Amino acid sequence: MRYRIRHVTRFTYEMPASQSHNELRLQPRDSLRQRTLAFRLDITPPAAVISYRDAFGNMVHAASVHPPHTELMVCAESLIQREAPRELLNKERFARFLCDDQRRSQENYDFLSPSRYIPFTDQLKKFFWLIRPRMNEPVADYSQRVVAWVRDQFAYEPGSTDVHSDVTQVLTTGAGVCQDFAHLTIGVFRLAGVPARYVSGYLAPKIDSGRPLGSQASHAWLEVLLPDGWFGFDPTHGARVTERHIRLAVGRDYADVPPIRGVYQSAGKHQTMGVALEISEEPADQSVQDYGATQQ
Amino acid sequence: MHSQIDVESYAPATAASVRNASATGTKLPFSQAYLPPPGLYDEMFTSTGEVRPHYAPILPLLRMRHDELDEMRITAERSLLHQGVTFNVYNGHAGIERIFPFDVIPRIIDYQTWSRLEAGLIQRVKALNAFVADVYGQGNILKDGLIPRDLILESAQYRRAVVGLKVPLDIFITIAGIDLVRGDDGNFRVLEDNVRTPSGVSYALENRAITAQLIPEVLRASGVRPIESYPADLLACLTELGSERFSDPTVALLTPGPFNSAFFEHVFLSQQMGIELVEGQDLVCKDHKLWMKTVHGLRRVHVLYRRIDDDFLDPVVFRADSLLGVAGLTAALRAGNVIVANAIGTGIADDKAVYAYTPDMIRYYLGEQPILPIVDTFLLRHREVREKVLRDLDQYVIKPTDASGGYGVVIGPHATERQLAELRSHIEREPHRYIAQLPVKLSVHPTFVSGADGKLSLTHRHIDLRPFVLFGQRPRVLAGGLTRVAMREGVLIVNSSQGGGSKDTWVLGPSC
Repeated sequence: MRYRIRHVTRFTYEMPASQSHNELRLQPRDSLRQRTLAFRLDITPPAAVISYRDAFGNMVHAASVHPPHTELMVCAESLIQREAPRELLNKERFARFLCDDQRRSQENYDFLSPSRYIPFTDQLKKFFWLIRPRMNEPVADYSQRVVAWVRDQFAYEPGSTDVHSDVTQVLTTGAGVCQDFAHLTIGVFRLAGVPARYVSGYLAPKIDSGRPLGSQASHAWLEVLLPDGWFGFDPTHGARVTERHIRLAVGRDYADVPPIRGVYQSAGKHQTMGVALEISEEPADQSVQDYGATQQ
Repeated sequence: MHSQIDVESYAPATAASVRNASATGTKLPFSQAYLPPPGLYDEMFTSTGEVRPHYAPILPLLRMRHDELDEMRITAERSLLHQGVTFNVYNGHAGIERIFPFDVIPRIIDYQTWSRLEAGLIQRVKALNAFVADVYGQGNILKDGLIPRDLILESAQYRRAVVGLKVPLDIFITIAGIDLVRGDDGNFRVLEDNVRTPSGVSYALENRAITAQLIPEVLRASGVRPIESYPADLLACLTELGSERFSDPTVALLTPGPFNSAFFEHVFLSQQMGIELVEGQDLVCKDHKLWMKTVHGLRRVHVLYRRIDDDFLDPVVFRADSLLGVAGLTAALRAGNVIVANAIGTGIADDKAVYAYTPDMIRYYLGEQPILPIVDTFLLRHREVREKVLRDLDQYVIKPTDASGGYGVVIGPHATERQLAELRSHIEREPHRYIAQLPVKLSVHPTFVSGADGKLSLTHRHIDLRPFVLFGQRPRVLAGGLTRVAMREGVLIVNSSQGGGSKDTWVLGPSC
C-alpha cells in the first residue's frame, strides 16, 4: 500500500517567540516493510534545518527560527510504501528463548531496562506476574496473549492521562490512551525478558475519505524482539500491527521520540498547538517525483 | 635546635652535598623536630629521617625561623586574597568564598619520576579518549565484550544525544586532570580521572607565582621546570582543534557564573588566554552556528571551552530548565559549526565504574601495558563482590560512580556506625551506583601547620597530585600539577571542596 501523509503542526504564541530551537522526528523510519519514497519538510517562518540520525537510528531534523514570530508552522509530507507485516511463524518456546538471554541482554540492554515512563515499580511487577510467561509457551504466542490482555484490562479514555504520564497512572486509573498502553505493555515484555521498544507513528484510516484526522491518527505502539527479529504489536487494538501502521521513530519510550520538542524565548507564557493530519492512499503507479529534489 | 639561616645568603644545598651527608649517615638538625611517620611514605624524608636528594634545593626553607616563615605565610595569603584566588564551597556555611590555603614548602618531583609519570599520563588520556570516541562511535569495546554494555548505558554520564557525533582530530578530551596518589610503597597510582571540566590548574599557576615572589633565588637555583606556558598551551590546543574546520577560529570560555566553585579559575584562564569569558546569556545559536553578543553585534564563536556540565549545556536536548547553557548548541555541533571542549559525553570515561576497566582499555586501544597502575577497585554491581565488601564495609573506601570533587565519598575506617549503616542501605538499593576501593595510605609531606598556641610547627600531612594533560595536535603536559594537601591531621580527602590546601609543585630538570 502506498500512503501520502501530510502532518501539519501549528504553534501560536500569545506574545512573539524568537530563537526557537526544535528537534523534529517526523521523517518516517524505513524498515524492510516500509519505505519512504519521498519526504519534505516545510517550516514557516523559514527555518535553518539540518538532519542527523539519533542514537536509535531515527532521522532527526533540527530546525531553528531566529526572528520573532507569533506562529510557527511545521509541515511534514511523506510518501510511503508499506507492505503487510510478516507472519508470526516462529514457534520457539520461552525456555529455549531464555537460553540466549546473556547475549540478548547485552545487545538490547536499553530495551530491557526501565526507562523514564516505564519504571519497574512494584505495581508494574504485580501486573506482570498476572501475565507472566509459561516456559513451554512460544514467545510469539505469549506476545499476542500480552497485548490482548492489556487491551482487555484497560479502558481507552482520552484525557485520562497526559503525554508525561508513566505506567503508574494507567495502572492506577485503569484507563489511558495508546501511549500508555504501549508503555505498559513494553514494561511487561521487559520484565519477561523480551526486548521491547516504543514506536511513534500513524495509523492510516480504513477508508480513504481524505477527511482531516486531527491528531487522532497519530498513534503509538511497540515492537518486541522475537527470535526472527522485531515484530510490531498494537496494544490499543489488542493485536499485531497492520499495513496501516506507519512508523515514524523508535526509542525506549515516548521521551526518546516526541515528534516535536523544542524551546523558544518569549515574553508570553502561553502557546497553543494545533495538529492537522491527512493520510490518503495513493495508486502505486503514480510518479514519486512530484516532491522534487527534497527526496531523501 | 633549629639552625637559623638567612635565605638570602644561603646557597642552596646541591644534590651532591646531601648525598654525601646521607652517605655518612648525617641527619640534618631539624629532623629532630619533624619525624617522618612510620608506615607512611614521606615525600621528603626516608624512613630513617634522611632527606631525599631531590629535596636538597629547599633545605634552607626548613632552617628558617618561625617568625620568618609566618611572615611568608601571611604574605602568601594576602597575595592570594588580593589576587582573588578563591574557591567556593558547596554545602558550606555563609560567606562561601574562601582562599585556598597555601603551604610554603613546595612538593618536589625528580626528573626520572616525572618522566615516567608524564609518559603514563599521556598513555592514559590517549586511551580514555579512544574509549570515548569508540563508545559514541562504533562501540567495538562493547561488542568485543571487554566492558559490559549495560555498565555504559546505565551510567548517568552516558549521553545518547551525542551518539555518532564527530569531533576534529578525534579529540574528545582536550583537558584532563588525572588524580595521582603515592602509596606507602612509594609508587604512584591513578586515583581517579577527571575528563569533564577539571579544575585546579589556576591554583597551580598562582602557587608558582607566589613561590617566585617569596623565594625567587631558591626557585631559580633549583632548575625547576616552568609551568607558566599552560594558558598558551591550552589556547594552542583549542585553536588546533578549531583550525581543523575553520580558519582563524575564535575561542571563548563558557562559565556558569560567579557562584560556581571554580569561577576564579574561569576568570583567570580567560584573562591569561586573552579570550572572552561568557555566560549562557551572552551566547546565541543562529543558523546552527554559535555567536556571542557583543556591543558590535553578533560575533561568531568556533571553539567553546566550556566549564559547565553537559546537563546544563543545551535545554533543547538536556535539562530543559537550564539557563546556564545555550539553546541549539547540540544542533550546531551536529552541523559541524562549533567545537565544544571537552566534548559532550566525556564523563563516561571518568565514571568510577569505568575506571576499573581502564588498564584493559589501555591494552585494548594502544596495545601497550599500562605505565601507571590504578587502585584496586571492586564493582558493587556484582553480587558476590558486593556481599564480600558489605561484610567488611569499614575496611573500604566507597565512592559513588557518577560524582566528582570528593562528594559522597565514605572512608570506611573513618566512618561512624551511622554513616556505615546509611551507606549500606544506599548500596543495597542501588548497587551499580557505587564502587569500593581499598584505602590508599596517601604519602605525606612536611607542611607548616599552626597549632593551638598559634605557633607554626612542621608536621606531616597527606597529599595527592593532579597533573593536567592537554591534547590538541599533540599532547602537552603541565610539568607537575596541583599538589593538594589535606590540612587536617589524618584526613585522606584532599579535594579543595573538602577543606584541602595546596602546595607549589616542582618538577626538576634533567640536570638536577
